[in-house]
Amino acid sequence: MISTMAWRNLWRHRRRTLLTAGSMGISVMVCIVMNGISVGFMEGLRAAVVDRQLGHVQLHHVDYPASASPYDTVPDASTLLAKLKADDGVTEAAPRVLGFGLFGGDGEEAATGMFMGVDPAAESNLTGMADRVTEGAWLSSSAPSAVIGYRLARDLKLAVGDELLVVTNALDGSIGDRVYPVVGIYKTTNLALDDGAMFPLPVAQELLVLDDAIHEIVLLTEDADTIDEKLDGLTALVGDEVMLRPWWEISPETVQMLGLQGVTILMFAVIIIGISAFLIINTLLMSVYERTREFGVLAAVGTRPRQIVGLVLAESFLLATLSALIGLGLGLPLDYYLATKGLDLGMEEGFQLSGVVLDPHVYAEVTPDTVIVPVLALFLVGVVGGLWPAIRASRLDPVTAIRQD
Amino acid sequence: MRLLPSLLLAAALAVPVTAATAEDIDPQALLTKIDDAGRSDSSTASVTMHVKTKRYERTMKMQNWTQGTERSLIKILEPAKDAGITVLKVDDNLWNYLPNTDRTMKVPGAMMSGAWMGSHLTNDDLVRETRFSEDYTFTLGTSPNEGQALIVCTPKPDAPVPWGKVEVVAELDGVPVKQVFYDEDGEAVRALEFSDIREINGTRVAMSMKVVPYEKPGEFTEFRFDELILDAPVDASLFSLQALGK
Repeated sequence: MISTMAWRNLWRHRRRTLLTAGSMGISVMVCIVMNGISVGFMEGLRAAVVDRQLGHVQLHHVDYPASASPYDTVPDASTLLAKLKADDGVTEAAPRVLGFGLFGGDGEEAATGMFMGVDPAAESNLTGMADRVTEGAWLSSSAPSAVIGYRLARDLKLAVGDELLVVTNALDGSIGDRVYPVVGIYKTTNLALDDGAMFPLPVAQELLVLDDAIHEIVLLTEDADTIDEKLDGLTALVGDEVMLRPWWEISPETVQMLGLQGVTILMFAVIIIGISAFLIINTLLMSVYERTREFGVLAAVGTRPRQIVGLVLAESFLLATLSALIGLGLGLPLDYYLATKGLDLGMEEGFQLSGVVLDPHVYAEVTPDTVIVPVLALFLVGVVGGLWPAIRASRLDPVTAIRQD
Repeated sequence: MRLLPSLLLAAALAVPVTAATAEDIDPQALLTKIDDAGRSDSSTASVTMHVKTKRYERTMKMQNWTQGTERSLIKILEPAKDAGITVLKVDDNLWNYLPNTDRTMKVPGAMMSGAWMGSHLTNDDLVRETRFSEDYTFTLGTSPNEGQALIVCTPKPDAPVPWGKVEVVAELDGVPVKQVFYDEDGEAVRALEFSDIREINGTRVAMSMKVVPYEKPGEFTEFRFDELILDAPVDASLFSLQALGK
């Protein structure tokens, strides 16, 4: 009976109820959409930086992360690589040689940049390099050949089929200079890579006089969310002669960025929920004031304070339900649209994090949390916000209340 | 300050002067002598460079032609792997000719701080042209040795110098003995030690220069003149890009 009364009461002020429900509904919609965008952004960030750049776990000579010295190569790399590849939790293990050098083409132009020696198949599995070749082809053999970043190609006016000159300081103190045919041009989201080049592993090793040494092994595990649990096992597997680091240790700025996003969502939710609370309290207080006589009569005919509280709370609950329906009705289609079409942040070049240019298109990612949390918060606000007007109504003295106009 | 073979030459050459006594050392005049040593001279030299690092030890033989301090050409003769590499310096510019790939490339700004031929000198050391007598303020210190002067040089605020302080030890006629370079925190970073002084064409010359990087204990690069001809006729067309690699 109370719910019928509450429902009828709500519609006594149709416009006010609709305005309140509409405002709260829009708040919920904004919350849902913002959450979707945020989660999508973070997922994009994680994929760009972690899956496509850092890998899940990296392995180096213990001194390499601090020294970045080309002499600090991974000890006994081939054994380690074989062990890691055989491990169940590891989906890919890619060896890399890292170097810095001078690049030239046919003309006068020269540019400096980094280069990587890679295992073509493993690297492509790991970072999807083959898909990022925009012209020509990805490395296919261990023959002397180069794929180069689109920015390097642009600066040196190099096209597929041209020759790339590389000059570097080899590890024996000599100058290493070689000319390799350019077989492909790639575009990644990483500026340093796009200014650089990649060669087959043995080619880079020969250039740097590294013999068969490597600088880095990058691992991809089955699931980015469970790296934590695998770390101990992996460390035991590789021994303590090498340094094994998960991506969050390699790139603390990415962790910070992800954390910042979380805080932003929370702040946003708090503001929106605060506004909703204000709206619902305001509406119900108004409604209770207007009906002072009515509550007086109810009390006079023997309605218990508990029942009056229940009545007002029911109104509040129904208002919240209505708001939730409006919020979902508006939010979910918009979320769906943003998940499929994406949101263009309107930045020409995207923006950078750890040298990674992030895609200025953000696609919303709709997870249960992004929808359920705002709706639950709305109901919480509805009930808590309704308490004050409800208690007020229940405490009215029947005699004075009835006399009031 | 000029380093490197040609550079070594410039730093090592002393203008013959009448002997000075310790009492009347004029640091300004002495530094000018060190700065001007070898300037406007031409020379040809055979140089051996010996590099010892934690990772490798290598010896290179090279031929060096200079004209003043502005122009210098270095051709690597040994070891076979590097033979034919030619370095041309004209003013502040540096080109490398690489026989392996038959290319000539100008060393870009980003590579200037890189090691030269695996030594303890950088490309920048090859071309940097600063003068103790002009880019530094200086005070006369107390020399530990008889017949030598110690001058403490502090760069002027706008001088293009990466050092915080340089201690220059020279004989009183301007033959350098030792130069110790300090960073901005007052830490000794590198020393140049000159030795084996001989007289060539009436000029006293340090035939050997050793670069000692203090942050890498046990490492050094040593340059030695195997042969040095001063005021030798040098064809100006040597110092051109066209002549590189020929």
